[in-house]
Amino acid sequence: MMVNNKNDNIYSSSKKQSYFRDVAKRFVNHKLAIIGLIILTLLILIVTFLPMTMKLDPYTIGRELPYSGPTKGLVLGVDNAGRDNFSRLIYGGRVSLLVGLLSTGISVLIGIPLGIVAGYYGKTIDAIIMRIADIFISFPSIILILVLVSIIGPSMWSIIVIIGIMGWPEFARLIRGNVLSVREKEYVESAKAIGVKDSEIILKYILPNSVAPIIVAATFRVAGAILQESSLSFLGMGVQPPQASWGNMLYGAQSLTVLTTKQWAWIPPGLMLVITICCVNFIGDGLRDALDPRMKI
Amino acid sequence: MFFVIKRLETDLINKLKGKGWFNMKKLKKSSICLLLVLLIVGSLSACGKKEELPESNTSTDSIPQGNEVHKDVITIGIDNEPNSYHPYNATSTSGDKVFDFIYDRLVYTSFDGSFSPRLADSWESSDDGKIIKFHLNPNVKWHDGEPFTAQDMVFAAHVGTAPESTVTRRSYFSALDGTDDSGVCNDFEKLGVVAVDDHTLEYHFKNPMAESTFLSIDAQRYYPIPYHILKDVPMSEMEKSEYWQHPIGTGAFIFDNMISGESITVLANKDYFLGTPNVERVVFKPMSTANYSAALMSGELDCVIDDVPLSDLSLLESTPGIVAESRPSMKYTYMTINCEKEYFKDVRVRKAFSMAINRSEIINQGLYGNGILAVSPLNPDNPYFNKDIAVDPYNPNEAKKLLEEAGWDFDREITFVSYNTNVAREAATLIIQQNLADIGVKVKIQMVDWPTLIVMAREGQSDLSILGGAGSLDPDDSRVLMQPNGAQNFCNFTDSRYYELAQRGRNALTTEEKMEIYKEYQQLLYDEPTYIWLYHDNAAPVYKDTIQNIPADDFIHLNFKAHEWTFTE
Amino acid sequence: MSNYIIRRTALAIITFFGITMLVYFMSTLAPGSPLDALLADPGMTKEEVVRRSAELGLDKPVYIQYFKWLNELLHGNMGYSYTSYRPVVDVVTERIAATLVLTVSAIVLSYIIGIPLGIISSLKPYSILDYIMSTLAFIMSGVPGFFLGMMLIYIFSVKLKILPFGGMYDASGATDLLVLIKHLVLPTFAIAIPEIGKVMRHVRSNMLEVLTEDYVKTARAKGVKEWGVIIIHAFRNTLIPIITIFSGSFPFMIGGSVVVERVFGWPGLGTLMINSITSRDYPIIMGISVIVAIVVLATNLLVDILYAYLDPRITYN
Repeated sequence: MMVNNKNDNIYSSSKKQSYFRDVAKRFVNHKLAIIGLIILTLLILIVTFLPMTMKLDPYTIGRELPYSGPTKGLVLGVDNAGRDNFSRLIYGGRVSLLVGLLSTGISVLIGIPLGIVAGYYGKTIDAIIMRIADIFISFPSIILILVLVSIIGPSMWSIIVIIGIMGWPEFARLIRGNVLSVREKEYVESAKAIGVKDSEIILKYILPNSVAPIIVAATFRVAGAILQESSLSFLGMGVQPPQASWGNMLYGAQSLTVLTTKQWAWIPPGLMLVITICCVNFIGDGLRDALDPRMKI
Repeated sequence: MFFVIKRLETDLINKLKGKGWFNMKKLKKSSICLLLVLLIVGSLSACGKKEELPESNTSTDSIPQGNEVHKDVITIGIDNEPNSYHPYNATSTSGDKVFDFIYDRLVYTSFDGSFSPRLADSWESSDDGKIIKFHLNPNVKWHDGEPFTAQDMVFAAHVGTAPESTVTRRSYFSALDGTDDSGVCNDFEKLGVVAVDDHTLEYHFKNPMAESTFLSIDAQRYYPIPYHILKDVPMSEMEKSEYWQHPIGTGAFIFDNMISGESITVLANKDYFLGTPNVERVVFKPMSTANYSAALMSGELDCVIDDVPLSDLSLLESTPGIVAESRPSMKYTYMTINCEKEYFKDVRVRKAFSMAINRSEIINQGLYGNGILAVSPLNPDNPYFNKDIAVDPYNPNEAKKLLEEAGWDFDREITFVSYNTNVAREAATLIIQQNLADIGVKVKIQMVDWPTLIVMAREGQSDLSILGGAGSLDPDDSRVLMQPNGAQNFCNFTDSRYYELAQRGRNALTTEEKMEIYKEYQQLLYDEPTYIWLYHDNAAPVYKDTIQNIPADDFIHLNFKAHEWTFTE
Repeated sequence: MSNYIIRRTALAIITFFGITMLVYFMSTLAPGSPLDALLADPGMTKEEVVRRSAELGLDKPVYIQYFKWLNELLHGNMGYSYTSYRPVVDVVTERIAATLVLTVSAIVLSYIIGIPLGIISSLKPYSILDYIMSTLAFIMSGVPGFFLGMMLIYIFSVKLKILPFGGMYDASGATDLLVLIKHLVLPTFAIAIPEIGKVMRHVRSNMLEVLTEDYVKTARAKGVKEWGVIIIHAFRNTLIPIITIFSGSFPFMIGGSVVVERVFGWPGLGTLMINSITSRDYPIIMGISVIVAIVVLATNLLVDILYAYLDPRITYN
């Protein structure tokens, strides 16, 4: 008789259906997570559909004198090149969310295989991969990122790739930990003895357990990636104008004149950043509590 | 990672219990002590090394005349700190400005075209234009008390031309006898700099050169270097010498100290040969130009010798107590066209591009009106300016016709490389893109950083780019842009007519000759453009109205005369 | 134990070389030669660039350049800056003091505030107070440092006018401690606040765990005052979490300071890094990376050794 998969599921007493119901119930109880989810959904809907319905144009320059304030049709005024700030705000939302999601995807895609290989095959390859992961973790990422950006040149796509590449270690460590703990278990040993292929063992026994912590880690990573992109764009090393990003909208606020007198230019993108990052964090927190309150991420 | 650590923690808690670590009083004290120690050590290390501010030790206090005051300190804002105090290695924009406070030059230029003596009392040139002789002021002393002599200028030329030297400004010596085209001299015996005696200095040129040209351009970069201090330093090690951490000069102020990234302090030179300055101490504060206006308005800065961002000008003009006026400058900004590309070889295409650009819009949007449109590297105030071409070339219809005539492929997309640390040029890039789109040309903008821009323009990796020059009274300033295969030929053209004209102009000895030649030069630049001249942006130095006798018009000539500034409070 | 220390040190050294290789090769991938930017100056000639490239060894293959650089490094010589011609060691150490002052202050501040707040919020879990504080902690850890810096400048320098808006010392050149502290306040908070949020959350979850432990109940049963229970357990918990979070937060803070330094015009390593990347001053870029790597690796090594002292079982890993 094949090993019952449910035995390694830590919710051993629940069937799959009621497991999801429990998860959903716990998530809904987490009020902040629900608020975060609602706000984020709203945000996604807005940045996806508003540009079309309102015919927003973030690229035309010279609509008013630079940094003019809110007027009819230009609710948030214009930026240093005379572009509509409101349109840039919405389009910037697209960029920030896109960068956050795609770069996290890249990190996961790199980190999971590496982590599995490191955990499963152990010994030297484990040591090498973990050493490299250490390098990435212990070194202030922004310095490596800046060097990379100065080489490749700043743009949205190079930022997505770079931030993605910088983010793999935590996923690798996560799944490696899981692999290590499961590897020694009896049913895995017996599976191996029967001759089940390595890849099948990984897919059937190890991955399902890891899904929960990975989802939580990925959520937090999205928030972190959005933060990193905004910092880079703020320094002028990220998304470049004319493309809009919340970070590069704040670039102009490095001037004290803008900071002091043109609040409409920098407070909205900054607030949007804070709100978005916090919402994603709340959702991550809620997911963690829902999927396994004992999880220690 | 956190899983493991958490488990360890609970284990460790128990372990610690066993080791008796919970004498709370001791722990509390020791951890607080540790934290305090860290903080104190950190802050002390930061400010412990700084020198104490020197006490005012004037025995000859200047008695205030009327409401003139002897000021203790003024703070001047600069864009970035000088990268080096070696005068031939200054690459940062503020280097030469700070130099003017501590180093003197032979002769100074002024906005009205006149030359004024400084290290040199008087000068004359030979009839054939190949020798210029300076009579040096015998009262000039270095800050260490040693007299300044012609030997210092000869030594300076050696430093500039020695093959083992590392200098960025070599080409300013390339006019001298005994140097090759790039300014390297292999045999100092042959170098065209002679100290006839302690106070008489001669420069010998390869080709005849007009006195005004030499004084306006090359001589503006000839700073003296103290022979008596550096004579034994090998040329190959010169730029690394510790001396440059605390350089001396002959100027109105003495270098005191520098806190990297934070401030540069210079002290008044009481024995300055032109008189004691009226301020005891000048502090230069490097800061982002975007912060100039706030610092000026809050009183933190007394003066800005660079240019404030033009967007802040109106705000500053309306602030009481501050003098802010934009004034015409010699600077020029141009768009480059990569003449290596096949589709730019037809001059009609390049003319069309020039006609398509609405320079007035650029001046309004990017410069807030503080500029003049440019049709030549010389600004309209320049005595050599060719008035025949002083018409705004803007004519988009004509431009489109020309393009069609020349057979331009309207499906072609060209790249415009630009950078975003200069607000006006960034605005210009966008406006040009729009202007060109209006005549059917597709332009893609690529924003890069400054070094990448230079590389790309020179290597011909883009179609268009945008750059500028500081300009000079003498029209020779733009010659380096025209040299086929030259390092500053950002349009990458090989047609040597422009350069030949510029060379002839440089070698012409009389003003009349120069006028003729430069008229032709500018006409050629207009009829067959390679560089598309865009605008001359105004200079905008700003200062408190309590500072008087300050020659703001001469700032672009690096002529600050800080020793003459007076203060009303 | 000493075996462990040796092993860990060896690993740290290997990691160090790995970092230097990574940064070196990455920076040489940039297009063009590092000296190209100098050509913008009209005084510069192509011949001069060629001559200088040869002198600096830039025409040799990259791996030869790397080993030459490494060799110099091991002799204590980090080369000379391409822009100021000063020894890299001097330039970097000048600036490092400024960054250290800022980073250390931020760390100290975040623990001084974060730990007590975390303890307080754990005392009445799931109460209104706890809820508010946890939400606050979350928000604080999610705010971008530079935006926080801008808001602080806006509120305290522009509107309230009680604190200066940038720089490390006053414009008049005065450099006494009081002036420094005045300028230090805002940037320190800008870096510390996100960290406070993290520390709060961590301490709170730690405390929650421990407060249910048996020995706590025993202590209470024995009649130890509640205050005593909390303080003793706070100390059991603060020491180890401090070490835990510290190893993760130090690199974060150095990174965070890069952006905050930019906002406040603080003359530290961050601004130097950005400037040298802009001007392609590779010796300085490498110098900063080396120094940061040394500091971070040394900190991690010390933390690991500390752990080993506290629990020798780690050494059998």
